Amino acid sequence: MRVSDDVMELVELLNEEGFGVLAGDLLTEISLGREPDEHADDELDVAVEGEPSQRKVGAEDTTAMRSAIPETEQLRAALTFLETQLVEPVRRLAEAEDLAGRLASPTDAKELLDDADKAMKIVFRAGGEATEGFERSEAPGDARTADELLVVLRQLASSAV
Amino acid sequence: MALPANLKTNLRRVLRDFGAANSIATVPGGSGKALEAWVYMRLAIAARATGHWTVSLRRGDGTLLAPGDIFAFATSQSGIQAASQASPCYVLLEHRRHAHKRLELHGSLQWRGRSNATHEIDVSALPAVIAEALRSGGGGLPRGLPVVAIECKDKTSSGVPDEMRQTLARMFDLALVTSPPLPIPQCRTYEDVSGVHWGQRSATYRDFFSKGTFAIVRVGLFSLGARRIASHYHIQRTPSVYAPGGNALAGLEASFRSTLASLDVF
Repeated sequence: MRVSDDVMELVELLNEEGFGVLAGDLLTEISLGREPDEHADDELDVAVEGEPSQRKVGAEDTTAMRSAIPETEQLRAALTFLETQLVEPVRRLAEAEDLAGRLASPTDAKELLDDADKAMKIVFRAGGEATEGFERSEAPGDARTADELLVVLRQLASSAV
Repeated sequence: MALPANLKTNLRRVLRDFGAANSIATVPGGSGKALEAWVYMRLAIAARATGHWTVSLRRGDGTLLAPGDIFAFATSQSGIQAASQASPCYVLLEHRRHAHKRLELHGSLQWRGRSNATHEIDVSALPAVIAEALRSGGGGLPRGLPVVAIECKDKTSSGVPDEMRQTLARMFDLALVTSPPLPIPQCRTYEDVSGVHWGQRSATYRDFFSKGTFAIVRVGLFSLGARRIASHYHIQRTPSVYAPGGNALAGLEASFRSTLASLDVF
């Protein structure tokens, strides 16, 4: 399947800005095509034997069930992928820092909802050593840069209509 | 069609700021660890929200973390580490009325199976009595079946049967359907230097797996074959974990609360 020019432009930009691994993953993801809905295979419930290229809908491994994404829809799919790989992990880590801060606060469960501004920094450590490259420099609980990135990704998605 | 020039310039600027502030998003494996940390803290909050459990954050030497401290989340740990402030932090769950009900929640903890192979589990819980025996004895790998074992997959692709088989194989190797070597009695979990043990042995694998919270959390979905295996062996599926609405972990949290409420049957 051919990857569209705008997605290739996005891949190149990601690589130039230091997101080379993600750029490769994005290219692979778009090339493989769209995943089916989780229950699309429920009614066709018999596994089909044979080589992957011969499998039909209903085969238990859905790798071969992906469908090509039309070029006009690839940019939107790419931007959704970037949301799940860039924006959401950082937002969830910031939320985890917020939750850790609440857990370090007084133990009355009723106070959980009133104690949202005391986030605790989370660092990553393998055994006794800090895990290189896994730090966040934003304030604990702060996902401002992820929010800004999401805005731009959504603007790009709108431009693709 | 080319990307609009102004948006492309804006994206480049925002990506630079984003990457500088969040290097975890640019290194391989970083987004997966962020997902693990989130699931981990959500479970801890779910326990505390029951009102029955005191939940505290602990340093690797067991001392209490206070507001303003830093939580060191494990990216890998070869078993419970010897008591030390340099060791990864963990969450301690203590029942408010039943002092014997105490669990520890760990990230990326390695367990040892019956085969002697080790199995790293992204989020797992074990009885505090086992973890404390290991910690005070210089560290080591817990043996037996965890009370909670959760794999976190940050891939957008569907989880295939082989991935579910891997999880199941870990559980099979950990479950003590055959007794551990004497002098350790039949149990669910144990530490083999001091012989500290906890819980009951189940007669069948499925019975073992039905007692506890075993799950795979995924950014993507699960294929039919993976769903079939999971349903049969009591492995909970949590697909589309980043879906809007914030309820993606509700089922997992409910399972965890149920596990905590039924520790007497273990």
